[in-house]
Amino acid sequence: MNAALIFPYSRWRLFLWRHPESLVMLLSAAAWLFLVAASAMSTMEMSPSLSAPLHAHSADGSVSFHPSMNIWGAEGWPAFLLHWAAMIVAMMFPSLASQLRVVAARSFWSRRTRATLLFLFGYLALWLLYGVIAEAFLQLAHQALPAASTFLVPFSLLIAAVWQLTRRKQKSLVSCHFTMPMSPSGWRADHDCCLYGARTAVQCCISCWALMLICAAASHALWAMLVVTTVFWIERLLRRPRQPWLASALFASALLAFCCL
Amino acid sequence: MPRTRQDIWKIKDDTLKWYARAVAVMHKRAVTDPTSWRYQGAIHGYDPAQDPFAKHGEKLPSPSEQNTYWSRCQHGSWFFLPWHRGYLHYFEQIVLKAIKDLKGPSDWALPYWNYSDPSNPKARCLPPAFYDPKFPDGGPNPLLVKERAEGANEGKPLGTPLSADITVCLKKLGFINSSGGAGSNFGGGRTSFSHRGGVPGALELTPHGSMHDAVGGDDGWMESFETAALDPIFWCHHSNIDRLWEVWRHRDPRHTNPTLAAWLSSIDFDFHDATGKAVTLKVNQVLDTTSPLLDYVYQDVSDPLPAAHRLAEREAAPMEIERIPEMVGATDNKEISLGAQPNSIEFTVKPPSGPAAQARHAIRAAPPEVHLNLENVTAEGRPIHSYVVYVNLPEGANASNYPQLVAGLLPKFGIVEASRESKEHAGDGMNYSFDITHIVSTLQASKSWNPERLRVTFVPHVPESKRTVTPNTKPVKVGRISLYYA
Repeated sequence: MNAALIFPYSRWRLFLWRHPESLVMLLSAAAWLFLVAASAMSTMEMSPSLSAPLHAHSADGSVSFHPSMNIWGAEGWPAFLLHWAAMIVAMMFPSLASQLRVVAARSFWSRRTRATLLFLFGYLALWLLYGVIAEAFLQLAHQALPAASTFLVPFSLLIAAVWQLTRRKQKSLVSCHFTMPMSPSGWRADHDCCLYGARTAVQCCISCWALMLICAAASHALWAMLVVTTVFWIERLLRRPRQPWLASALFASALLAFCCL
Repeated sequence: MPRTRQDIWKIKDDTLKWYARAVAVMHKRAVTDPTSWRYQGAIHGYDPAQDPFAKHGEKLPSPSEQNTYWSRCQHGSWFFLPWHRGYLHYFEQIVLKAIKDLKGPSDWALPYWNYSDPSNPKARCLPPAFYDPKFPDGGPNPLLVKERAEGANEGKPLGTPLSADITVCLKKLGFINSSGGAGSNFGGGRTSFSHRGGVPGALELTPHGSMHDAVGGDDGWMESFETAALDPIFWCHHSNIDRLWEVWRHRDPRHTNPTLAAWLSSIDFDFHDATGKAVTLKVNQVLDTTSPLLDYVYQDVSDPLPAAHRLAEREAAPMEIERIPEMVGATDNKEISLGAQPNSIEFTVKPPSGPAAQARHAIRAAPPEVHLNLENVTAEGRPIHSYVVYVNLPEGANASNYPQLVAGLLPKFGIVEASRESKEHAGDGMNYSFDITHIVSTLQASKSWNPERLRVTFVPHVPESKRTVTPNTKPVKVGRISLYYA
């Protein structure tokens, strides 16, 4: 057992083995490009089906909630799901690096890619479900109180500010990084990978539902995604996440949004 | 001239007496005072439900202050050693100031408890200063804590030689664990600043965790993150862990600390100095104990392992350490319940098909490293036992006859806290990794290694607990056992 090991593999392959999350990060970067491009197209009013799947932006690019399409229409739903999925891939997938490493490390070598994809499938499915529920809620709110729908963005910022201060939010922020035992092979292994992804998404949804509601209320506008992503990473990367500060920033944004109406 | 941290069993002066006087002073301070005994204990971990000194309606530090300074201990992390060094340093400064205020010596230093000293038959016993009911100055002894393992306060040896074993950790070549948590090294896995952590390093597992168990026993303060630092022996235990870091660094020139900026300078640790002023520390400020900031040395950092060990290690050490761990077998996801009786589990092992296969092909032999992982180890109540983990122990065999098959000790320290969802823990339990390469080598040499099947046996590590098993006793549960080649 004392021989030197010489791997005939490139540095790139070794890097990918050591960081199985790398390709998912590239996918996330691609999703950001898609969202930026869609936003640019929206500004130029080139492709409403991609840029504003459910709610049209006003001509001056303002972010208020002005639905122009029927959510139940055949064109609206696929476009919405595509856009929402791109948002989740762009904004949430980078935070899954540690879980992806765990999924890969806890799987047989031949199953690493499959396990990773199944984990992401379970994760994305849960977030899509939340997206549909949030969007349906916003649509219903608009239909019930059309005059009040312009207040949805500042109101969602306010909700996010309050949620930021709750104990449940703090707990789920930690629980997002939980791990679970997974069967090594067979259909049970596939099931466990999906379940792990879904259970991770449940914790992430509890932690970030209010932040993502801002994006939904703002018609998936790029500014909202950037604000939410900034808050999202501050609370994950800072060793001392100052939730009162983040909540205050969100509260100030809500006031600003009210003033801009 | 740096101050010298002495072995508690070799102290000839009044170091422990002054320690006791300072502890008494710190006990009198309010919990809102950062230099108080309770505040210092809460830095390691705090749970109001477990606080033995809690009084109804008392004022605690603000939530913001608690978030910054309390429940900060780093476990299962490459920050375990540097964070605890900083923690010990400021605690030592607070004690030193209290001693100076009492007109005591100005060169006082925190002593260490060397429970692994083979030349001392009482090494695993607490010195009488920690359990004598009366303090020489009069009144109760501030160093006495009743909530300890049975026999601890009677001067009996704590744990077993396995609890105090330092051969595994000191032989580790590297500091950082393998990626993905498969395979431990000396100092722990790469994590962000995190109270919950991942897979602990070999030193954190044994003797750190196992000696917490040995002193804490069934329900003692040393058994929990939240109460451990309230026991004065905690600080001497961690002083020894800190010393073993120095021993490891000095015993082999290949034993070096990480040089990554993510470890050295990316994180600020928050503490208070002796005057109660808020201060921060980075890892690169605590690497040299003789620096003007830390200003201490240990009485003894010589290599405790025989010279023959050192030579054998150098000959056996691989020239190349680029290892990618590959899982080759695991139990399914049914929890394995560990109670008062030994429990064996078998599972299938497949030939490696990734990097480990390449490694095996390259050397035309067995894989160079074999790791046994215990994943998501949880307990809903204080577990009755820690466990000795055996590999391929024959069925029905008397485990004590097979010391060569011991993979390691599964400690219970911190398991309950890590199993509860809180703002510090995800509730998914602890993860451990044992290097069993030497066991596989032994079995191969005796032609009794079966590469397609592995048997893991958990045997209760009885000496530290004789508690009666009741229907309410909660078992330790192991989420999954897995085997890795690297």
